[in-house]
Amino acid sequence: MKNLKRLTALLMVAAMVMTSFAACGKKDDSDQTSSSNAAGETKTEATATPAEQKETEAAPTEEAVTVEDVSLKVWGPQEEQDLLKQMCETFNTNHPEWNITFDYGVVAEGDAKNELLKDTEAGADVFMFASGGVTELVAADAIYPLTKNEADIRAIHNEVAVNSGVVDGTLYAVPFTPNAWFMYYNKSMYTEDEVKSLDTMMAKDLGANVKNFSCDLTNSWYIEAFFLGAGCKLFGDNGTDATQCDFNNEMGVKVGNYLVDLAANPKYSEEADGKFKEELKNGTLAAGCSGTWDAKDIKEYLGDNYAACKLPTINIEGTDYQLSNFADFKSIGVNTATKYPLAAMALAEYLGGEECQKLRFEVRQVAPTVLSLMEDPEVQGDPATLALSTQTTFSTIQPTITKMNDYWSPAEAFGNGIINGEINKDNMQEKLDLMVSGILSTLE
Amino acid sequence: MGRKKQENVAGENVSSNNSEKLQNPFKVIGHVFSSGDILTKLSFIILGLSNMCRGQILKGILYLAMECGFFFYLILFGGSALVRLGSLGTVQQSKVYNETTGIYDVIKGDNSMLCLLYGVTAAVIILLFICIWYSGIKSALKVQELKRDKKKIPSFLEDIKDLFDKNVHKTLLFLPSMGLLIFTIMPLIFMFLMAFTNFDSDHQPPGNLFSWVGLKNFRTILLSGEKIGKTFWPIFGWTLIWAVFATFLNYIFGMLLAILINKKEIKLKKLWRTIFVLSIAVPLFVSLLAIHLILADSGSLNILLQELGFIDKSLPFWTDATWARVTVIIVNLWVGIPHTMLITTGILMNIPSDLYESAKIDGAGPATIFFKITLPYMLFVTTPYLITQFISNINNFNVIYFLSAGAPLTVDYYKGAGKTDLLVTWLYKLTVDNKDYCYAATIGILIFVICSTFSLLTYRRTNSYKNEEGFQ
Amino acid sequence: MKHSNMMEERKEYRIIVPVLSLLTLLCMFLPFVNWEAGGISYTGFSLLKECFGKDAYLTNTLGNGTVTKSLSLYGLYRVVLLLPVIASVVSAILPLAAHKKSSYRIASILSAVSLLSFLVVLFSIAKKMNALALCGENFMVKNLCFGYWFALILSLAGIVAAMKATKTSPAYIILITMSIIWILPILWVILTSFRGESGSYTPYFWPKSFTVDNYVKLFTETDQFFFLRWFGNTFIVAVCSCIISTFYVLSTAYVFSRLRFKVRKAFMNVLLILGMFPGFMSMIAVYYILKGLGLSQTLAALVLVYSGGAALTYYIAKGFFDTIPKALDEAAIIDGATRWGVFTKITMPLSKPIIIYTILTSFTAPWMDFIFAKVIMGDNYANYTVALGLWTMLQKEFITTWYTRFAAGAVVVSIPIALLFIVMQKYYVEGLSGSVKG
Repeated sequence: MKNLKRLTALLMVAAMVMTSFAACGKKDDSDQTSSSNAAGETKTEATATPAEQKETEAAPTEEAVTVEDVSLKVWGPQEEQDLLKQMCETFNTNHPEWNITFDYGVVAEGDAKNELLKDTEAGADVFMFASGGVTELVAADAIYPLTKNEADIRAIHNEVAVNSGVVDGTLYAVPFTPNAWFMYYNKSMYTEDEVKSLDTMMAKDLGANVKNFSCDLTNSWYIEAFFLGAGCKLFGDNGTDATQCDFNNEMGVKVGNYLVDLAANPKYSEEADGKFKEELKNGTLAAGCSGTWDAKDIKEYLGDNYAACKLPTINIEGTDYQLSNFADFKSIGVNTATKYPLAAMALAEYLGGEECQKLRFEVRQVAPTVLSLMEDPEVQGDPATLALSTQTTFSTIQPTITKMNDYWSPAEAFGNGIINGEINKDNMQEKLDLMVSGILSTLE
Repeated sequence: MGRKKQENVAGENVSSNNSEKLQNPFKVIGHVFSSGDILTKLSFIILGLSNMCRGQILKGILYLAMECGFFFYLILFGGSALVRLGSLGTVQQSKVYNETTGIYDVIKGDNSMLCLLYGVTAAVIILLFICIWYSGIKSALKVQELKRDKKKIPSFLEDIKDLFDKNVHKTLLFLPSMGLLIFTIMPLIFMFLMAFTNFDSDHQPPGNLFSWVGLKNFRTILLSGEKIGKTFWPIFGWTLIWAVFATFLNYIFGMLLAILINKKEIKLKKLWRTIFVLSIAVPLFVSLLAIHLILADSGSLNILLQELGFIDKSLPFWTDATWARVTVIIVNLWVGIPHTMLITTGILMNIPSDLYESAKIDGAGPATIFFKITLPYMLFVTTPYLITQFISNINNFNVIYFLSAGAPLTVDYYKGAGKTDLLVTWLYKLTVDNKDYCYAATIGILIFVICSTFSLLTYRRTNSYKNEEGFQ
Repeated sequence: MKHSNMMEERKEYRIIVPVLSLLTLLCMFLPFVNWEAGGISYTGFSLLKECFGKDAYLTNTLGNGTVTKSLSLYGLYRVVLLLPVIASVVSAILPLAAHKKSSYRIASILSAVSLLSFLVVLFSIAKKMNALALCGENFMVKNLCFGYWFALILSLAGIVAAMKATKTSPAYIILITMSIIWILPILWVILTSFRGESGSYTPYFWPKSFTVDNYVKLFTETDQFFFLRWFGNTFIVAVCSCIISTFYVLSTAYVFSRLRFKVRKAFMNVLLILGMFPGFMSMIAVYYILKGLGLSQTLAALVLVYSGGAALTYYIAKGFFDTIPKALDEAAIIDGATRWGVFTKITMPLSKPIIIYTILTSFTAPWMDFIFAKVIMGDNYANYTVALGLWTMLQKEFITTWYTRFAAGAVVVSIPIALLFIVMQKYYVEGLSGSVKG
């Protein structure tokens, strides 16, 4: 008898306990649920038609006057944050059909790709990133194809810039500034004509303690200029063939030997840790390679002798070849995990559009990619911007296929080998073969 | 048995109420089932029943609550998570073009990584519950026996008091174990399992699924002729060499320095020790960066030597493989000697001075004293420390990564690995730079195998050393 | 005590030290530099005369056209070669004049001075020498000949002799040299933090201008780097994780040292094994677990991560506890204390050294780690820790302006840690020595 009573009491308690657990459980596991919900809904998703997609809020009806509440998270580097806030608020004002709340996060463009891949759900809806990462993002399906106003976007930017965000024919990113390097030089040491050819530059005697040229050969973002300029191809003619790399052909060997000579030249200074800027400052270097991020400092160091130009040509066995570096562009992309794709895409287009690019140039001297702005006299008056724009016309578009990720390390190791003397003219072919096999290798 | 006797000899407390032997859990379950009455048997299913019906109401309710919570979890999340663990997701994220909006609609798929994580979480929670269940049925039987023997049944309050006395180990260990479980063990299981998948840079979520591949990664790294295989063995060899040199050189020189400062004639001992300790205080990545820059191709040292006329070209501290390796070992002396000095100082002060005096009276010179008295004593006392140091040097990430970042890189090695890379730094690069998680996990497991083999071999030996109290 | 300054014994040093000093002086008359191919040969004194004949200052032209002056080698050599002469003369006279401890002390200092001067000659700037046509193209160490080397060795011998005369151990020389080597990188960081010129790379060691500006800018220029806020973040994280870690480590160590229970050995082995996995292998998993707990991108997450694995380092504390006699525990239990009471009232007070050691190590860890901080913080810039912030300052876009401020930040971070170490040195040593035995 007593036991039976206890049993019933027990069952009632059990019921109470279960309900209380239900309450706590929801709170604790709410994050788990949201993501496992996404996973759990696959069964229903796969059979539903696209139009009946779960996130109905994502399709604002633009004909109606109803105001939709949108929240967008935006990533930009710290130095851009103030501008970003300003531009986003303007965007909000320009679009009364959306009532947008912005959430800003600080992520440098170089880190954006990794941050996004780490956790796409928690990532920004609109983010600024380096276009070289677009292939990895496409492979992981983390970046949204920009199909809505593709024609418009393509029209206003210059072609090289736009193509940097195109993978397999689809546009994924809106470019807003080139990210390439060119050459700074000391006007009092070189004339405008002399800087056109590297060999002329190296031949000039500038004094016992002055070096003529500095470049970062151990950096795989710089060394390709020599190979590509001489006509070698990475990943085929369009940068789309993942099985082709002819850096180790006859021309490649000649380029490699040229680099060995350059590295051994006592008038050449291999750049490391920002050294070339100090050398420019002290008057012990005549020319160095870098991008617009160093413009302010170099202008300060060189004062009236400040000058910048496109990369020089190199002469191999009698023919001149224009150094052609990779053209990479800082761009704006949209996250596939966004809940408001239309608003996000519109924001991306705006942030990369003419108005914002002009603003960025005025406040931060950031070079534009919009065609109309490139003709702007103000833009043309800045030597660094002009050099950058000019050089990008000679640049090769950085291949956007996934295999591109495999290029960096072997090339860097090759550059290291040239600088430390491990690679010389005798083993050049062998080392080039190793580098190419490293680039093209697959791990199956 | 021998160990137990040894502990008794050392005078340690042997708690009487908990037997030392670990009983076979299955035997226990069988025993509980067979000797339990109906209530206890029912407790197998409704946990806590026996306790509640025999007076331990609160305890019983607690057990029951935990069981309900567990089933709740299992039904809602755990079950599906476990199932998905096996398949690691079946639906890939896809996009379908939507004519009306002009954009693609993203249809979310499975995220293999999250499947793995939630599956592991579910497995861990199930394991935890099994432990709770086990303790529950044991306590069910215990209560039954207490009641049968007409002994006092401890109330809930008394149980709590016990937690601070007899069972204080449970209280004290609870929070640390929870911390360990959540932040060390679960992530570890997760990464361990990852070694058996193909989650590498080509299989990144949310756009791609990855799946189980069994031992394929191990085969690739250890046996195949692929580049990654050719990279593993040289790096492994260098890791061992580095660990040996780093540990022993630091130890010997640290000890010599400690002896030097300890000499009677030296004044201001505290000052000297402080100076060396200062180098520990500066964050490692700052001081190592400073050293890296000083020794760089155009760093202060090379420029100085060139201007002196000693050399024509910069010394290749970081660009030549052998130079880099030697440099790293020497710089590690800078990092490690203050630590070993501090440790050996304390021990040195404990060596009875009459040993030294009698040796001096016998006419022994300083070298003899060192080799016959100091060194053996130190080695005896610090052998466990040396072993631990060796293992932590195998995993010494900071020094290598911040000093040389594994430089010099070479085309002969896989992707970003360099000639001074240890297995750990290579692991880090694979994880963070290349996102080849499965290979990183494989290497992590291999590191573990190496370390544990080594410690198993050596700890056994030192335990036998411990018996030699009659050393002196 | 009255005659503590007069030395009765070791009269032989009265002769030895002056002799050594005079010999050093003599070496200045021997050939110092000899370059046969160029037909150049100087003795110490002729070199000195040569230097007095030339300019003391050089003019340089910078990249932007400005002209600056710097000390030329001649100016340097005038001093450097004169010093040993004066030093030798004085240290030769002194012991002969007064056989006192103080005179030998001065003699040893003077000998050290001349040794340093000769070392400076060794480290002279050959390229500048070449440019000024003092000795032609290849003035290298090879060209220094026996006069110089003798002088070097003799001045070293002089130091040792003078030190032996005052009964100071020559071991001091080794200690001083080693201390200099150890302090060098730290000195470099401190110097960089006061450096007036911006830029990351400098080919020289000693800054050309000094300023406190870097420290000021570090704290006031907050549009790019929130240093003060990050410092505060890291401090909070360090304090919290320090408290939690210490509690974890001490509890675990106490339990394993004092108590016996069924799964003790198994547990100890598990902890040992867990310690052998590299910590950051599981960063991604930790990030997602934190996300599941709702804690991602918070400081609390960092605290949990840093203290979560604390129990793994229990063996040092355990070793220390093993050295506390069990009799104390037993006496307390007989008197009726619970085990918890024993832990808090008896064991803890006795283990001050190891507590302090544990506090020290767990306090310093968050200041130095940026790997976990980066993964967990992601885009939450305001919640960065100071290590992560410092690391960001080294990125390509900022390094030129922020490099010196990075050094300033490093110094600021090191100060509390260094102070802690110095103050707690005694405990630290005691704690470690007791533990290592076990």
